[in-house]
Amino acid sequence: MKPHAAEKRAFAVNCETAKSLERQTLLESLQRDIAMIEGRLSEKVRLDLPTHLKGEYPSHSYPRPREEGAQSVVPIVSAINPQANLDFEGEANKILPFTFGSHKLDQIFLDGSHQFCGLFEAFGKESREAGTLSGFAHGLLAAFLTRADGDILWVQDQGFTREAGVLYGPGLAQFGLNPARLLIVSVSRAQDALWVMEEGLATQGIIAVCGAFSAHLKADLTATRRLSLRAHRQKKPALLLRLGASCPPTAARARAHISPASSAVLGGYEQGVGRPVYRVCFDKLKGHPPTDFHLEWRHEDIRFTPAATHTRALASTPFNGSRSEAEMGAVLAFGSRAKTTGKFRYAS
Amino acid sequence: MIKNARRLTAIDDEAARRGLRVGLSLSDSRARVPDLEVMDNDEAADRALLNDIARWCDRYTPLVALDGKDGLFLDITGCAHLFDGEDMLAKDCIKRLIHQGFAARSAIAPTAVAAHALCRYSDQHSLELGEEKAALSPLPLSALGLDGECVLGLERTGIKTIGELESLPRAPLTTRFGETPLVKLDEALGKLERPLNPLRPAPLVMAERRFPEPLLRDEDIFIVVEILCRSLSQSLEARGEGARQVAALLFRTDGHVIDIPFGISQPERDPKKLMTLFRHAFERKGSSVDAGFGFDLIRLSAHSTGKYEQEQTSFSGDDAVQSDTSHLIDRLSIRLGSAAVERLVPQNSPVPQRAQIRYSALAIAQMPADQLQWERHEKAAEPLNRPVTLFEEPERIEVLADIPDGPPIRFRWRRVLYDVKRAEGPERIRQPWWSGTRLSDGGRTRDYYRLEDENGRRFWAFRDGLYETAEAHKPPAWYLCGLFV
Repeated sequence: MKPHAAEKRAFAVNCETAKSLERQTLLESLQRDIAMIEGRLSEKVRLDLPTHLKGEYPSHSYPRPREEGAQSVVPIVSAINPQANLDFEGEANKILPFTFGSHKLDQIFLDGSHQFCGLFEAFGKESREAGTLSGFAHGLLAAFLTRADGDILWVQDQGFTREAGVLYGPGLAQFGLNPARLLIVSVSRAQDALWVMEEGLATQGIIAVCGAFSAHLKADLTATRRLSLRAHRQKKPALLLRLGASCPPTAARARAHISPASSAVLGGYEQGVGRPVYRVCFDKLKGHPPTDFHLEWRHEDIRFTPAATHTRALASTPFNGSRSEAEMGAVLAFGSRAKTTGKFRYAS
Repeated sequence: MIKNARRLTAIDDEAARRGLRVGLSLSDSRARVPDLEVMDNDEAADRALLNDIARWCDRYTPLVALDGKDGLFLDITGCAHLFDGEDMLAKDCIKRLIHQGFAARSAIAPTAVAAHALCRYSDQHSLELGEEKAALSPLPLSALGLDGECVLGLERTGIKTIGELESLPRAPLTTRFGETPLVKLDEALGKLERPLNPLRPAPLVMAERRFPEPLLRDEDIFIVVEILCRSLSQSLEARGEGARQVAALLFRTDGHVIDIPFGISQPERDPKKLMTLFRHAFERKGSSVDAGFGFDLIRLSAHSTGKYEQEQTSFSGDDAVQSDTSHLIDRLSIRLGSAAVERLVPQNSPVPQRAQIRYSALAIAQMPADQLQWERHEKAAEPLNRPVTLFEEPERIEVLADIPDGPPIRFRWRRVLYDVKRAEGPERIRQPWWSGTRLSDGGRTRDYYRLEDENGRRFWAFRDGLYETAEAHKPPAWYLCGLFV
């Protein structure tokens, strides 16, 4: 008997088990990464993750550190086909198609192949609602960024800066939008505004363009038609935010009216300023009646969710007793009031 | 006023013929020539004019230096062949200056000091290497550019011409009059090198075109600049570099020069990209590009270059031109100004207003990537405590709040009254001890509150200072500094 040969054989067997173990840990870590990107990871598992994997952005600039034992494979989501369905060998976990978190939003914003592309508009009725309007856009872009690789071009004009201020990195980071992936352009002339957005769409490294403008912008059908065509051709989304403007007809695929709504309770603290909630009314949809619903932003998942209907006890009645603002855009002949969710009831 | 009398500092030919001289007092001159036209001496304007002429002389050579208050040095080493020889160059220059209304003279010599001497004190127009001694000897000492005292001292000892100075032994001269006379003499004779101090640094790579028929239309200018971009690109390729700072100089026939510079974040040498950037810079100049009677020389020069990295071309097969992000930043910065295109860079500061800096995107192209990364440490149940937008200047609001540190109950912002329904806070942030108490320096210790009104609008407000430590009759002020979304 040659102990040497026996040892060699044992060693060979160990190597094989080691390799299969390695493959398994690699698979598991890959699945866990993808589930985290999706937002499907349960709280418990998330808390068990090592710290360097918990809260980081799926950054495209450098590979993330791996746990010991696994090979360093970075799941880079390619910008060419962000909705690729990667199949594992026999595993039940498939990558779900992209979602904003709310079925209604997905129906409106995503096309048949779950792509987010084309020109969309969002209006804010009052100029003091600039924060709400831009918050909705930040939410859409942050959700989109978790799936795609590239930068966002954010165009802002002087009127909007006067109403809302400048973008603040630490706040954006908490909200869920990585400020390092923002390229911010301030335009002072109205004719430059749409031109900058078009140039951004034509650039390889920019995956979405958002313009935040006050009422001075002249964006009518002819001006926005080029923008819409280019957005479709490049398969990139273009968001046009208009503050305090009347709603002229444009070439946008869908038009939303955003207004603020009471925040949702966070952490059980009823008196606190909780999660941001938006009231969204869509009134220009092909084949759909106007809809009106509330959305809540979950910053830890970087997704919207439909806002739950709940009462919030208030310390005192509103200032002049009026209950809510006028319905926006929705024609009530269809009785759509009954279909809306998330109505808040004020304690008297 | 020189020596308590107003004196003439410059005269024209007619006045010289009538017997006036520079340095004559004004009353004497008026006595001799009653119908004398006198203008006040304006040195600043003269200097500006000389600078403009120097700018225009850029068409001959990029190395142009000032020579006193009324002259220019042009280093034409290696440029003469473009003009059929040095004499033709000088003649062309003088002819154009005379056409523009100046009285001008020129001289060509191997050294600057010799040229200065010949131009002002001699009738000779050009000098070859080796002839300096013979040509300069009969000239007076002031031709060397020595100052008046030195010349007076030398003349008192009997030295009146350059030839005499040259023939004397050097050591006693140095001990008596210092180094300057001999240094100048050596420079004139070519034994010492004195490099010129040009007004503008010479460009690294250059391409230019001259036109016998001046160009007037914008389209012609674009066609020419496109050709120049291609030849500039070839020279840059030969050097293995890309251009970082490019300037297009358009020389008008009447002497005015229009300078269109533009900067590029990553070194670039693709002629198409250079051309688009030039177009944007040209359009930004807009109406100030006035062709006048036309441009007869257009030059494209690269003042700063850097190592050129090949970029990957995209294979997406799209019709539209797909450029990359750095080219987009260049185009937007040139068209809108470099302050208009920004990125947010995190700073490690507890003061919220200083937790980020908005850098122009061109400037941070060279910053290392780890300085630009943002971190995120959010856990599920924690609310957002920093606003998404921040006002550049915090806005003053009128507040009704509980003392000492209750949140606002009601506040008025931009003349609208808001009832606060939910509030969180205070978050107390102290300012660094070295900051002043004025708002622009950072203010006092602040309590930040997150507020929400009945409609769901969310604000970030702070109280600048504490009630306990405030002076009597000056309660701390409240400000709104950001909006939550």
